[in-house]
Amino acid sequence: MVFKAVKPDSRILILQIIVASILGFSFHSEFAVISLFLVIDFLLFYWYGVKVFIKRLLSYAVMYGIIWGFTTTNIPILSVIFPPFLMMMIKVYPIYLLLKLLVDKAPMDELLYSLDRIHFPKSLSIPLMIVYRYVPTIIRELHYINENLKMRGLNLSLSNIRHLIKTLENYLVPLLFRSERISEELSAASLCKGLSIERKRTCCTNVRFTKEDYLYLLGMAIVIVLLFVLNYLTL
Amino acid sequence: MEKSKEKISFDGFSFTYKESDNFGVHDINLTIQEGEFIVLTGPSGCGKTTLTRCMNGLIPDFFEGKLSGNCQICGMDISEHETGDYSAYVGSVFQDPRSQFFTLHVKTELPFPSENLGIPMEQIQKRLDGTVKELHIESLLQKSIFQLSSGEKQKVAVASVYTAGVNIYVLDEPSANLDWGGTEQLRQLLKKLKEQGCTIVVSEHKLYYLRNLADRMIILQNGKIQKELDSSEIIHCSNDWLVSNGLRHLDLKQIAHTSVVIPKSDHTPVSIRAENLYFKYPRESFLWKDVSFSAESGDIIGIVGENGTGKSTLIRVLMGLEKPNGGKINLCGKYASRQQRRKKSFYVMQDVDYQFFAGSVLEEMLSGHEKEWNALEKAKEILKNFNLEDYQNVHPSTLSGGQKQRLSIALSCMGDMPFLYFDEPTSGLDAENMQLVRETIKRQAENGCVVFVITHDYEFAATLFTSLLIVQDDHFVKRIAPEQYQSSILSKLFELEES
Repeated sequence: MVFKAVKPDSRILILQIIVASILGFSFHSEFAVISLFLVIDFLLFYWYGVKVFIKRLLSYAVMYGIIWGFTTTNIPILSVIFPPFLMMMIKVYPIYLLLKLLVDKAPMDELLYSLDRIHFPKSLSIPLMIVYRYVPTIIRELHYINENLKMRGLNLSLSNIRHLIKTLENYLVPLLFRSERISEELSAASLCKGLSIERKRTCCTNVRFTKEDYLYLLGMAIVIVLLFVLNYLTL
Repeated sequence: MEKSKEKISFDGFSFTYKESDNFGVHDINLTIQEGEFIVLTGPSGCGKTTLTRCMNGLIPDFFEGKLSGNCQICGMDISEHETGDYSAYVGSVFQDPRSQFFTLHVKTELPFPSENLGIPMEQIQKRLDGTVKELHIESLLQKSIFQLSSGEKQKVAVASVYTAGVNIYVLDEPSANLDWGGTEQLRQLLKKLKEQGCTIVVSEHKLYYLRNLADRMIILQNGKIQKELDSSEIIHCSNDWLVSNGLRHLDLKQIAHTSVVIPKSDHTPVSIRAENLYFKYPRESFLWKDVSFSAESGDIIGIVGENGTGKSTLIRVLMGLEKPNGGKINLCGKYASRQQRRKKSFYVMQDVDYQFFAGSVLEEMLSGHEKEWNALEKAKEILKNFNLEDYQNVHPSTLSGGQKQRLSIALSCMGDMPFLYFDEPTSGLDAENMQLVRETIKRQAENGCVVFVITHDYEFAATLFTSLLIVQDDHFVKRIAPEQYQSSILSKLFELEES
């Protein structure tokens, strides 16, 4: 068995989410905001390949296309409501992509250990890890619930759109009951496996900053400076 | 002979859950020695799970309540210690493999308990290498937990506590979600642990796979120990005695082969005909091909086959949830689109919790039928037929496993669905509830429904089916029509001579 810690270190993957959030919301130049997305999309190209790169690029372009469509056609009410909402989506989208990268690439044990090393309180890191663990589970649960509702003709569809609140309730009620059951079982299983706020954890891989991590941080710093310059020049 | 050490002891022990008036367990006197293999069994709600929760320290730390008497695990009194204090000695495996993993990958789940216990990195690596080789799980290492079959998940659950070096294994209904092959994998794993001298406690409804492993079987009823059987009594225990005590069979070969005859119904007959169906997931080879068969009112069609052969996909195609890559499906002699098939089908999933959306059993029955003038009377009548009339105002999630299964079937009657599809309806059910579900399915067939049932539970299947669909490894589906069907075919398929 090969025991090698994932590179870059999980702490760097968290740091880049924080940095991207700050940059995305502080930039006033549209060009800088787009450049930030492109940098992140190139990062996805490195991790996931060309297909994901193109898919994300297209999604981003579609969002911009819709904003452009609403602002140029000037449809009453819609042209006022939708563009600010989509602008918000455009700012949040790169953060979501980096969050997904963290969930996909950082092993949970390394993440917990890394946070422990920087003295991040366990009373916060453990609940955060449970949320991280629950994201893929909740998607699956919703899929099963949707299939059942579909079989009974109670799913979200055009014919049920008039009873939107009732339809949403149909999704939420089983999801809440399942969540309650899963969270109880997961907590019990974790306690039995020795997870504790007081006890010091170890990790089966050697989690520490290496040359690769420092180089990655240097690259990150250069990109941040370039984006700031771009934001300043294109205002 | 070396004197064995006491690992677990209950002395006049009783426990009542917080906010409950009834005893979870009452006046338990039980001692488990090092290296013993104990099976806890009894009907649902008899106190098996409460006992296992005491053994892994979840009671009274996580599940609070009032306790009296004494319970010691590895010399530690459970009233004075936290759950985590036992994690270095006791390893737990739970019923639902989906909710017992903290991480998302096999590679990170295996060392998780060891890391929590603060075992040094080099030692964890050494133990992990040993676990992977000894339990033969090399092929699972690179997988995500979502890619594992239920059997593989239980194997990983055992392997992770094995890596932490525990000596006591407490398993709560570990086979509830396992197929035939998965249960066999679990049996082999438990055999290996027993050979290594580990102390094992298994709380179970399904007993057949533990028959040759158990040193003692503790039968619980209403929170008390009703009877204790030693290994020779377990081997010679008759199925009649087990059934009369509300327990499942120990020897599946003893189950009598009886033909199921469904009398003709007065309802308008219905039929389903599949013609040359093909199915494949994107970028994968055909799951099954050239599937043709027909079935009509009164047929209870068992769908059997190994894990991953596409049994669930087949029923999902038939009921209109998936689109086949080729072929067509006729209902009552006419081509039926996916939407038309969905309107005439009802799907009872393995986990029925996904199927309930309303605040009470009665509201659940009325969902989607609000505009029908006689819906309320009809719902009450159906609930009465399914012995659920006393529960019409309770929330569906508070029903027992068997009651939930019956409510699902009752929902299908509300919509007059003639095509019923069941996916593993007996997982986690005790003998009585299994029997009730079987009778309900037969009654629906007598009322003119066509019923498809996927199951790996031979006890349930042996006296239920009228015909078979065998999903084979070679991607073809073999049909055993009602006129050719004999229940002995089923026992051969389940390879009982090797169990």
